[in-house]
Amino acid sequence: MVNLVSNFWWIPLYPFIGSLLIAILRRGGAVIGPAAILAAFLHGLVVYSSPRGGALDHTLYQWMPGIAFRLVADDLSLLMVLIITGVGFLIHVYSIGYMDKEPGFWRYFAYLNFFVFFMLLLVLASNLIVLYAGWEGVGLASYLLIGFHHDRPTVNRNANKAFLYNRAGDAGFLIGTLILLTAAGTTEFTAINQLPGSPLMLVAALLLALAATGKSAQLPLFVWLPDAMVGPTPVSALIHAATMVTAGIYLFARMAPFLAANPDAGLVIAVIGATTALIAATIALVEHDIKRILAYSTISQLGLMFLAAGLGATQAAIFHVATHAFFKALLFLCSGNIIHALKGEQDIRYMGGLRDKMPWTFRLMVLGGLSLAGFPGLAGFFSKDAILIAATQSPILLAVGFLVSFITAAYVSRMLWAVFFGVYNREAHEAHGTMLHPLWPLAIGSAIAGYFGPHQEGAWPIMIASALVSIAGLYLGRQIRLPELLKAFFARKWFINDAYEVILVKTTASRGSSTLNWIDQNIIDLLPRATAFFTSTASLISGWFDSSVVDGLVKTTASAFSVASYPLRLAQTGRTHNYALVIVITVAISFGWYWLQ
Amino acid sequence: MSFTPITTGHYLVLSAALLLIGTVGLLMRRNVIIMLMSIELILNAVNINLVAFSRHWQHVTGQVFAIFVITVAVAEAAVGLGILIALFRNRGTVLSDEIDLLKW
Repeated sequence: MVNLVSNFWWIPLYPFIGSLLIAILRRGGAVIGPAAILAAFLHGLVVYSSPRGGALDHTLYQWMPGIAFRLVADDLSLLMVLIITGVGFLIHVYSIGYMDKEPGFWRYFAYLNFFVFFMLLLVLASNLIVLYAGWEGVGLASYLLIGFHHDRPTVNRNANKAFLYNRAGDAGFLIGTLILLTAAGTTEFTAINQLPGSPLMLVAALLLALAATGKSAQLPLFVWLPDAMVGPTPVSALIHAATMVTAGIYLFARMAPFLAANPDAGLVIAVIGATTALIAATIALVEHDIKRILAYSTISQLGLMFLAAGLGATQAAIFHVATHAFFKALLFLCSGNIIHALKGEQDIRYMGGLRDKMPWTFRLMVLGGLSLAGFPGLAGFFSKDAILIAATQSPILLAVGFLVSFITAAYVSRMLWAVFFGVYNREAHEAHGTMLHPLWPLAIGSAIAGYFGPHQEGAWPIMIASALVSIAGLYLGRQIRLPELLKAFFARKWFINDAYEVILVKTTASRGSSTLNWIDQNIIDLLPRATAFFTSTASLISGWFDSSVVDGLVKTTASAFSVASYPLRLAQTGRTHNYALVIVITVAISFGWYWLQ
Repeated sequence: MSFTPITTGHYLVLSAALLLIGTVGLLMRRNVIIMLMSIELILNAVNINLVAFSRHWQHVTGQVFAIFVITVAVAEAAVGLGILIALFRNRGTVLSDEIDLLKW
């Protein structure tokens, strides 16, 4: 009997092997994919529920001094493992129905398992280097899955956009990691978390925060997430709502003591989170694409988690990660059912009256929406309260938190009314089988997960206020009317994306290409040109040497012989008579000389 | 009319005459056929010389040597005439002073 607890490092291997198997066999995704995730989930559950006595760790090998390939299992990482594999398993099962008859079915499951492998590596990492491997791996998997329908227009562009914005953040991650490696001699979290605060550490913390804003879609790098919605809906649910985008918050939670030692970094993170939460929520209020509404909602909720993590309330942040994973995955999968039923329609203006056509999806999505809106008693209510309580440290952040809660409730209400109530105008059918049943566990989680959170002392005033704000938002959001100017401003996404397009993309494209052209012409070409010049010069010299010196020797020798042999050559007339005469004369002289003797 | 006996000296005179005629013919004529004939004359002058001395010394070696010379002369004539025919076919001439390519 193998010891599953001490061999916790097998957990990432299940999806890794699953991914390889599917990729090699090119079939069996519907069986191997979910089975691998289920195995990882069950293994994680065994480890989580057994008495461990502190953190487990396992060193696979020592790469170089200070950098080991080392995994660690403590409460935080195991909770993340359970979220990833639990929600991941349900979404894998859901995908069997959703992706049915899609070309590249096996490829989808291979990618999805590949993603889960890297995500598990990310949360089980015991140092920044291993975490970075997972961090880049999930970015790659995200890119592959966003670009899954690569034959459709704009999909490749959006996949590239997601990847490039993530890269911008990842550069910060790498530099921050190298600073910490230099300072501490290792990147183990246990060592980094004991470093005292200093200006250099502040820089490192801010660079890691930049990386987190890339992965978790916060200001300034959030614009990729809404465009990532061109991927299949289950992918949006798993990667771009429940797991990968929470990696930034996980990083803050993992490095909480380090952030506490550099409170300025925490403050920056909190302000970024609050600002992003507010901006994204307002955009969600005017967006029409159901998946993009949920995407902006995700950005907004991640902003709240940043807010909590920045203020040091990592428990609240991780608690919200967990509840958010449930209700946001539920909402995405419900929206997937609707999109599937309406044959690809994503605009809520063309929906309506689906309550009677899709009764179960309706109930589940309302439950998820209420949980997101923070309806009293549901999971989202408790986790959002935990964040608001953490925000009481700063009145401004608290006010932003309440404002975001209000807008969240409003846009949830707007979306649900537009989709399910009002005039029925489309043919639709209820989802069934693998597209409905995985939603039940998520719904249960969305409803009751809040009761397993950290205990909160003296939170009653905040809770009551939050409940009132939520209900008011839900009521008012039903038929919200914004001033046209504000609406247009929100709909243009506060011009952030446009600004990036103009400043970064256009400038980079025009100035960049001319600069690159210049570099190509003047610097890169210098090398071949210099090589060509030296080659032609050298060959000129060697050619001259060959034709003058070498050939000169040969020709001189030849002409010397030619000149010297000229008199002898005259004797060679070619005429037989001459030769005969020579013979006769020679004989005559010989005999004559003989006689004279 | 009286006849003096033919002595070895007569033979030698005949031989010398033939040698002289052959040599002059070889050097003066430019027709290759005539030149080959002149060579035959030279060889036969030698043969007469050999046979004459064979008779003079009552020794058979000279006659045997003459037979050898005749044999070689036949081979030489055959080869020479073969070359001559090939030459005529290629160049359309048998005049030796028009055939002077074999030089430096």
